[in-house]
Amino acid sequence: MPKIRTRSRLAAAVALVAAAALATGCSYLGSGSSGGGGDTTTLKIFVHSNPPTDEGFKKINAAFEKANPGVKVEMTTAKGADFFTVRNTRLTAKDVDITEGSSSGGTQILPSWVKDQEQNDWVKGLAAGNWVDLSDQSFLKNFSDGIMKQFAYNGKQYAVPTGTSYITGVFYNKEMFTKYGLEVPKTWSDLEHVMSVLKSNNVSPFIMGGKDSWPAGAPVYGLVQSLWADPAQLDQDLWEGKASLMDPKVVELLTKVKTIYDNTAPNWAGIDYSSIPSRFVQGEAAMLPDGAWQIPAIETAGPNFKFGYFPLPGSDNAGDNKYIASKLEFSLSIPTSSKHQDVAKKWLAFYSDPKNYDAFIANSGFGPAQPGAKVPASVQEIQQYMPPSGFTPSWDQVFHPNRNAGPLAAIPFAYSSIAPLGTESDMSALAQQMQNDWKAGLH
Amino acid sequence: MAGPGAIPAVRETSRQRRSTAALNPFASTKRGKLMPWIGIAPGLFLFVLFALVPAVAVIFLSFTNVSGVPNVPWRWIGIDNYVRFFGSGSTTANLWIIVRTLIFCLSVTVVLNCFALLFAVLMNNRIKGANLLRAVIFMPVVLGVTVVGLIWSLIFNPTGGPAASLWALFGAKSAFLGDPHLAFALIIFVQIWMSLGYSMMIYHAGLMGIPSDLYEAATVDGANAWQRFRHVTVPMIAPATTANVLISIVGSLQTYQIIFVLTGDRPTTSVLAMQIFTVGFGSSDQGYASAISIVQFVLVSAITLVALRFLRKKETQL
Repeated sequence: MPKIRTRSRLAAAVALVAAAALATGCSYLGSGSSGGGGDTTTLKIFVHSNPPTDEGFKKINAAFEKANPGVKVEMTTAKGADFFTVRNTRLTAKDVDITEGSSSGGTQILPSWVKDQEQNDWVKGLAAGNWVDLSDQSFLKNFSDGIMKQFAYNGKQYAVPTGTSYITGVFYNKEMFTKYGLEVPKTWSDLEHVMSVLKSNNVSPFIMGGKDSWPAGAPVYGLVQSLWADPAQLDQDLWEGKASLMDPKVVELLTKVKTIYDNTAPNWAGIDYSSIPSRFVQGEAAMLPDGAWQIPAIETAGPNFKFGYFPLPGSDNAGDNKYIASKLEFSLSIPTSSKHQDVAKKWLAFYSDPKNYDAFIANSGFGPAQPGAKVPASVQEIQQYMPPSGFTPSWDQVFHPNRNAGPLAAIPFAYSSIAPLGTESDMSALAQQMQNDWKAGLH
Repeated sequence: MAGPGAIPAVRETSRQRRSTAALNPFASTKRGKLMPWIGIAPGLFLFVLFALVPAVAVIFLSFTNVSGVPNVPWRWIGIDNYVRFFGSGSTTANLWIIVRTLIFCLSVTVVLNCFALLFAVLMNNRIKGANLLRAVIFMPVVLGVTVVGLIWSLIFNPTGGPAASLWALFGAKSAFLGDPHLAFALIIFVQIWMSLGYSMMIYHAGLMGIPSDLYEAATVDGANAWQRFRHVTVPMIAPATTANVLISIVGSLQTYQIIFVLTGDRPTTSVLAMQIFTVGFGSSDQGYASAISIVQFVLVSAITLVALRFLRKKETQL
């Protein structure tokens, strides 16, 4: 009997110790961004994983630590969809001091013509008071007014931009173009000529990472930019029922996308996006429709490789194909739950200093968000395609997706349904299906 | 001794007595009856906290517009999320996703169990190197989804991968995982390849439990190999078959990992679990993701219960 009692007591003691350990562990995990011990303050930065910008941030962090003894910067990253889940979790746990507020496109408050849709996470968070007001911070003056306007919310500023990504252009292999006597195409007919010459020389005109599907959408943005004078108006007209996805122009766009797909490297629908820069450098194709964020990866794959970037000429009128449209890249913000807001502001000021920002933007592949920023030669060359205003938002930035529409029209245009990515080869039929799906979402 | 008010607290109902007796049939003291509950309390607490509460919460959340963004208020929206799934512009696409989920489940369950049983029987016949072969077949289970996905992505690389070289011998070309007509079939194939070892081991354990006397008696009675398999092996491994089929059904209805690794969320390869992952983790539409989870839960429960009833009936018939 006493033996049994001793065992029971022992078991109870073990259970108590285990419970205490669990509670201690939980409380440790829940301690959030309390920083390190002693006089050291730990500033926690969390951004999505992108090797070129990660490198830029690491350099800034090292310089910031050097300039601010007693501050340790702890930067962590997460990939793809994981980023949003981890960010929301860390915001809830009050475990981050600087993170991405707007991930793309600035504030983007829904306009009046968009019905029955939810505001994006950034706007919801702003309305909930999740982000620190930075309006009175002098370092914001370093950034372009036009870009800062895109981030404004109720006349105040809560975000510090990183840059822009040119999205409607096409990379081309300069040596290959010279070899076959080709010029940068200015019209769709020019592009058809380029495709024809390359094919007759057994060179694939284009290459894209079709296995990941989304990279195949790059030509769509360029074609929308060329075929519609005001893509924002197209968005409004679609929502108000004044434009149809069966319009001849839509069929023209889909047909041109199909032409580009038909002129892309064999079996490209199964090629991984991550292998594209090295394949392009190795000469598997002469052109690559993609965002300029690929510049660092292309330069890494071929340090001596000569390439350029031109606007995708979707129209036969060269004047329609003059400019490259861009998207606003992610921005940096301070959560109101941050325990080190002053240090965080100091870090943002340090990052925004033109000298540090130049170093960040140099290897990021982004276009600059500061007017006088020094950019590398590859990005400098693209500046000739910038409109006088300095920034034109691309289709994905101006279009408002309809969550009630069918999948072919939730985000026009349904490039992933076009063969060989999808199964559709009849572009008029696809336009009809898109229109049906779009109409289903308009109440 | 006790006052009238204390009697109900002490007195056990016959139902309680039955459940306590079932839990600890030898307990005769109050302490003896209590101890098992104290023993299971930590585990029960963790189960309720981390399994039961979230499961019930998902049902509740499916009727809200919860976004997952901290501090953002959410509200009760009734059946709007379900209307969005079954009654919006995406209805046809969503029904196709359910059909594709069922095709995936049926193909994986039938083909996997046929091959697993075949390999288990072959390995059971004391062939040379059976242990090594079993280890080789079981290996993908150990490798895990990500490594398996990477291996098959390399094999199906359309430019220079082994499968492309094999195809080229016949003068054919394919984008494999990028081909909308072929990708889903390849995913089913990889899922079967990956799960084969696990199912085979369950059948193997069942086969090990069959007394050799039964086979000897059947042989004496003149039964050939097929008849011994049909009338001895199949009935004797019925419990293993039930376990395997149920594991395959539940596992395949919930699979998204291998699809995510091989093709990502594409219209031609998406299944319900993939949709839940994409909506729940790719966007902040967690109320809608919860509603799709409930649709999946109902589907898994219904199919599993019907299959369980059918298999138990078959077990007794055999």
